[in-house]
Amino acid sequence: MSASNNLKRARPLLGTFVEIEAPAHAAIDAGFAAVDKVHRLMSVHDAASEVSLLNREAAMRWVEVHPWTFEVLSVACDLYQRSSGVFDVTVAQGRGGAIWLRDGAVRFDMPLKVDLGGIAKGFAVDRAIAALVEAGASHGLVNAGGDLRVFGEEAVTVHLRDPRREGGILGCVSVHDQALASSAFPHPLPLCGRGGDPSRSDGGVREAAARWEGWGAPSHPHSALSRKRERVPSFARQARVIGASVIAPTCILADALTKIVGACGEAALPLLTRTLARALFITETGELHRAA
Amino acid sequence: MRNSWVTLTLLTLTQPALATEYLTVDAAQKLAFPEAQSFVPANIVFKPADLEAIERLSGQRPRTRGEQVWRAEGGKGLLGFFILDYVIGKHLVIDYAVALDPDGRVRRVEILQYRESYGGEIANADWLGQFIGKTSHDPLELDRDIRNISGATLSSRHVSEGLKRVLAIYDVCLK
Repeated sequence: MSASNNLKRARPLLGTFVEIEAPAHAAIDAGFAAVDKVHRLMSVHDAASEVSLLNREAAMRWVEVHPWTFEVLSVACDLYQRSSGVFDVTVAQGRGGAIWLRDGAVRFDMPLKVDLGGIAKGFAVDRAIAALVEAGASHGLVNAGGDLRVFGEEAVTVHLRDPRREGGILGCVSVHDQALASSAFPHPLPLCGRGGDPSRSDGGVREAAARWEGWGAPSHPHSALSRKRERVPSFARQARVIGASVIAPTCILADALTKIVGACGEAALPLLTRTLARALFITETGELHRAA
Repeated sequence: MRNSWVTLTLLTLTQPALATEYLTVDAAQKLAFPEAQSFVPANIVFKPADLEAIERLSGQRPRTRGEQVWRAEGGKGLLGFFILDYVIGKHLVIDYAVALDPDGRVRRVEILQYRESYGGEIANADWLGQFIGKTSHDPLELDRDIRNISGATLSSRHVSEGLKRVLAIYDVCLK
């Protein structure tokens, strides 16, 4: 993607800076409109969003939602199954809790809350890319605070932040018609049970809310993880993962998979293979791994 | 005072800055108000009472003596306001523009220029193996080579705080 025939713009959305690169302003506007729509549908902090509506009412009745919200919840439930419960968008008030999906409608089997902060940003990137294509752009790039996707003939070089050093660069990867997402895990994941802070008994709701809120405070990117450590037995033998990057066909997958790799390390390999994804991660002992 | 200059210089040396210019002021104005025929400068100089009112409304005291404002004029009069503002991001300055309808509703917020600092070296390029574009033998030119970054989410909180202040400035000085 040459710089000469490209326009590049950025807006504050989804609590971060969303950057869109394409040949025409009209396409970029369409891309931002898609991101803005995902924001309005799925922000857990906006009382008018569909996610807030679900959190208020889906335990009592079937709630019809926009196809985009339905799609994100479908992918989230699928990844919950495939990761044996490691990736979990629900924040249950007690134990258990399931999401039922049927004909564009959603129901919870008990009072619970969902938080799509760990997956909707990737979905927003995918929708923005679709909008660029629809607007006739021949190529483009959407980067939502580090979760990005590229389309077009040329590959794009992307640099990875070093989670250990502020301002540091770990290296670079080449991305071509793919998505790349990265997450840093500066604090032990609640999931791991490795000295996870017991004061965070809110199940991550508060920090997840802050992260996802459009104009929110920065927060930790592991809100979508459940605490069901017993389901990841192999993890106990591994050093803690402090940063993970995933290359996948779509950004919703890449976004969600970084959290699973952050929790499971190499144990996530079968899931990566099944989803056609590759991962790079770095542990607290400074070891660099590639799972591909 | 002398000490802080030294620190600043060191910081500058060890933390090269990457500046991305997304839009010029002109281009951002035309995008925000495509129907406008002219942008008439209407800069504000704050009076002491304004500063207090703005701080009361937004919780923030303006750091500048005024604000750069343009009135977007169309065939039928005022279309809205275009306000140029800046905030300090994590370390460096972010220039952004807010387009407001005449009644103060936010039409769009657009980043004009973003600066970020980097460590200036690749920690360990070889491990990436097959993914690699450049290697450690092929030194990065930060300004030219680093165009896309993936990593920990950057918060846009500072811009949202700035937006709050801009809306207070509208209430106090433009309404």
